Amino acid sequence: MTPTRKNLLPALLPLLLLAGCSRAPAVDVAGSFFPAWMVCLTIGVILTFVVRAILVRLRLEAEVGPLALFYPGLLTLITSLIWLAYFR
Amino acid sequence: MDQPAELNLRKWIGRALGLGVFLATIWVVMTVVGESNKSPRTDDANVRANFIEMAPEVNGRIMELAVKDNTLIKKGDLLFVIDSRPYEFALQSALSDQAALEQQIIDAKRRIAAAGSAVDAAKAAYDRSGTSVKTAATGVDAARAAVTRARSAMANSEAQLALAKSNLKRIEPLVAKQFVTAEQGDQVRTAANIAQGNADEAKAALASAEAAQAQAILRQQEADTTVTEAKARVGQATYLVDTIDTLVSQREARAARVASARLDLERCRVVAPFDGYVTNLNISEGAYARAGVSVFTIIDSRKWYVIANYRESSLANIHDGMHVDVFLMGHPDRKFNGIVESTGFGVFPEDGRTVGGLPDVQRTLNWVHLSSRFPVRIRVQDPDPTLFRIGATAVTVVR
Repeated sequence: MTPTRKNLLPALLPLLLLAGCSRAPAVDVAGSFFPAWMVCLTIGVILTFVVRAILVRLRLEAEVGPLALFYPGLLTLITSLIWLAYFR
Repeated sequence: MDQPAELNLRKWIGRALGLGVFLATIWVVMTVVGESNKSPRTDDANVRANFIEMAPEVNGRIMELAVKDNTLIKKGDLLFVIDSRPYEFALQSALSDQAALEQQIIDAKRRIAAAGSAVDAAKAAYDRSGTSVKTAATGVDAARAAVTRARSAMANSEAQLALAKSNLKRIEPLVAKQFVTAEQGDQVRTAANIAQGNADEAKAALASAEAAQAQAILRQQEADTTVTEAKARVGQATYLVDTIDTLVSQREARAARVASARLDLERCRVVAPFDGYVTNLNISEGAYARAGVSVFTIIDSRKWYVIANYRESSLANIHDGMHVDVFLMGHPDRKFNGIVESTGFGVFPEDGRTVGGLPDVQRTLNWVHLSSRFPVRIRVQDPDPTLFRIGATAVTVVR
């Protein structure tokens, strides 16, 4: 792998350093193989709710700009990071 | 900290957080898109291996079944044995035919030798008849000489007869006038009579000599005929000499029949052509095996493949020889290494059917077209033979 900006920068993230990508990018749930991104999305939704709870407690939710953009963006961010960390 | 300052700080943190999330999202999405383009992956992949349907090459009842279903066999291991007795008999018959041909050849050689002697005899007869022709010719010459001799003898005797007759004619008047004695007259008459007899004898001798000549000529003709006949007989005898070529030319055919029978006999013992797994074995001893009809299946365990179907847009990033991470869904935590061996050059095209001799083109048209997917053949480099099974679901990531 050549160290370009695209793949070097995510590699610097501590989160990604923890990652091992030696798992199949699909998850077996009771005989059905779900693609990895669906799993990531599910975890992402849960984590987004957690983040929202924290923001509400810190009273920051009103300050982050248009929520209709912020939360989908946050969901996409978390989902993608989990995917990059575990299933790249 | 007073109220407005805290509010201000929260405002700034919020703004930074919002903007940060926004920028990070854009960056991370680009990373994900780039990553999935660079390393195309698919979960529409299946494990494959080559397999053969094991069929015997000869017919017969299976007397011994040496393998069980789902077992590993090595190349050369005995799989099953077909009743070999009919093939042993066929081999014996072929060997016997071969030996019979050899005896026929010996007999034919003997007959040919005899016929050769007959030719020699005929030739000798021909030579002999040539000699008798010469003898006959000599006989003809002798007869001709005898005729000539007889003819001259006749001429001689006739001349003497004429002389005696003229003597008699001259002396008869003298006898009548009694100028000569009666005795002299009788002598001349007797001489004339003798001359007459001699002449008659000479004529007869001539006739006899002529007859002998005619006979000699006939004998010569007969001798000539005999020569022709003897010559014809030599030719006949020559043609009667058989050749053993036709028999000798059968030698290879008989040898081939023996080899074929031996091969059939060998084929009664069916052995494994390569290392592999026996599968789909659902028969027992006593089953009747037909040549060319599958008895069970052997999976070639030497090479394992994964056939992964990739979208046509991904194929630009998949090249032969590229490394592939292979995961089996049965063992998702184990990574196997594969290598792209080749990419399929054809799948059945949409609207590719023909109905009634014409292409069947649908009238409905999609605005959005789904990309075709092509099978990519991935050779697994470090397969675990205990885990790989044909048809197992796999996930592949081309790196």
